[in-house]
Amino acid sequence: MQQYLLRRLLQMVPVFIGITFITFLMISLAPGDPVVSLFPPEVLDRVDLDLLRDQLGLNDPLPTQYVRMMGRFFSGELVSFAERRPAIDLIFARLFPTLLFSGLAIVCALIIGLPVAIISALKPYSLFDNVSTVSVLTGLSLPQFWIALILVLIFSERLRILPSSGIRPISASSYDPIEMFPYLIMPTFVLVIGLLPSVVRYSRSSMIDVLSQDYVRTAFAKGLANRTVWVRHALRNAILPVVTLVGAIFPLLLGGAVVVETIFGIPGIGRLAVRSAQVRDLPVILSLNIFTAVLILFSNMITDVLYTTLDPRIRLG
Amino acid sequence: MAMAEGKARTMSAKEIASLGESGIRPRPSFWSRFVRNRRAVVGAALLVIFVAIAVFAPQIAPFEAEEQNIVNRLRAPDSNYLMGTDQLGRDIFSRAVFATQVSMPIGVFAMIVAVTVGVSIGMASGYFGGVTDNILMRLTDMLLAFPVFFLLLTVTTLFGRTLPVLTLLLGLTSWGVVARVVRSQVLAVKETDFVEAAHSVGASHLAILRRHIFPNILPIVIVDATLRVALVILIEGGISFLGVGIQPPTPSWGNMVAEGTALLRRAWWMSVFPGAFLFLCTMSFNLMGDGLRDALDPRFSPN
Repeated sequence: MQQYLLRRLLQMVPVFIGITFITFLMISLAPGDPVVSLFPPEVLDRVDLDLLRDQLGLNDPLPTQYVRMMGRFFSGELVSFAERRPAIDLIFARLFPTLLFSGLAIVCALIIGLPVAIISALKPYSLFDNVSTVSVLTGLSLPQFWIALILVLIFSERLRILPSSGIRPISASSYDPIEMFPYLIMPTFVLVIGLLPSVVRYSRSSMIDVLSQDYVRTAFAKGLANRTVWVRHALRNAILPVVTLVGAIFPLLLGGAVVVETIFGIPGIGRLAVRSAQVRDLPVILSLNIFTAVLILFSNMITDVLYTTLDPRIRLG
Repeated sequence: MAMAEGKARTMSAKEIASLGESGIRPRPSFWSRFVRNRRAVVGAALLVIFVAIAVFAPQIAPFEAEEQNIVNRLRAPDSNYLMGTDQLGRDIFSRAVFATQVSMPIGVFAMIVAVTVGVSIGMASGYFGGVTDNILMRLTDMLLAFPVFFLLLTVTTLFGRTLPVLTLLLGLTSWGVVARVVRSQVLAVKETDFVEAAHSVGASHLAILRRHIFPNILPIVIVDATLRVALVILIEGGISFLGVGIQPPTPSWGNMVAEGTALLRRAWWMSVFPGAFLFLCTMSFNLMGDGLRDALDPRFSPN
């Protein structure tokens, strides 16, 4: 097990270097001058751009800049152009809301999605299955920002029962779940709509797959009750691959976070990404890409490890 | 070479009849399977409507896309302005119609980029294996490790937002899944007897890939391509909404929804209708793709 973990970690190294280097290259090769966008046009002619570029190290050769940027990232010295604070601090300060909503969305999507997927799989091409397939396709096609705005229109503007932005009352000083509850409903709902299609589709095909296995047929053949076969033989095995799904939907969630945080005014890393992209804040963009990529690499690894641990049929070769 | 074609031998009428007696019927044809799927038919119809809207936009739209009529600004939907007007008095319906001419080609061309890159990488990776496979798949891992929106926010900010650049970026950021799916298919096909037979008669790698492997992965590529158009159109909508996609005054469903957000309370129609266009267009491709999968992919057959 330890050996397996170690090898998985080592496999991540080239991917990690690749990701960071590609990000860095994209940023460096892109047309346009990052220094210019830092200042409003009216003060631009009063700033010594060359000196500033020198101070920020933007005149050095690319490999030097890459190594220096990486070194600074790990030591927490990568400083935001726009805010004069370490980029990694900015990210950590905004991590809590993003993780909170992501966690809530995953839990809700599984609670709703798994039963739907299982019932669909037990009676494929039944009315229920057809309705759920159409819902899945609808969910796949719904623009999250559009749904979010329609919810705001109905529940905040017309009915006035849910707040349209923020994650807690302005007067609040702590994160009190009861006070926060109304603020969580709409953003979580929108994120869940983004996740449900994947959860239902994936779990349904996993369950159908298991139901066609020989051991399930044998169980039916020896006269076991439907319920017993479904729960004991099929469900247990079908749930396993779903574990890997939780790792796979993480990138989806971060994508949804960008839109949802922008619309609902949530101070998370999604909104930070939009803002730093708008002002071309390179250190923050670079850090965000590294950070999310590492997050995704680790979530993939953890789900892989979890999967191999849970399923005794998979040998760690 | 004739032996190596890999096509199933045609059954004689007698054999088909005997299959019927044994309770096994041959798979119905592609068309009958597609037409029997009501979702697919609805999707195809919707798609035809959207293609028609895109082609005949100037005839359908009562106003020009950027035609301002400041006296009639923020009008609610009525018989003259079917979907109301925006803060500059532009007709929302006309703009949404002209946006079809922007978003659909972007979706299709970005899909072509993504599928071309994805199929090439997936085929090379699966067929050659070894070091090639390792390098190409690690490259794919890297692409898939970026959350799409973060990546697109970064690259559209850096490389510009003109239509060709945007199309290229959307395509180049979404070939990862295609490559993986194609690779796994190629791995299965390359073990078949007909590929081995082609090897044994001295067919070149290129010939084998083109004549024996590609035709066998084509159904899955077609299904993925259809679904990918839907995904790309949706992502384009998202980045245009965030202000880093198609730039106003060029109408795009995403940037039209965004323009309406500030005025949501006064003019709900500014956001709601363009978003509905985006939803229905995406839905048409998703329904089509789903129907094609049912009809083309034996693993998803209802029987």
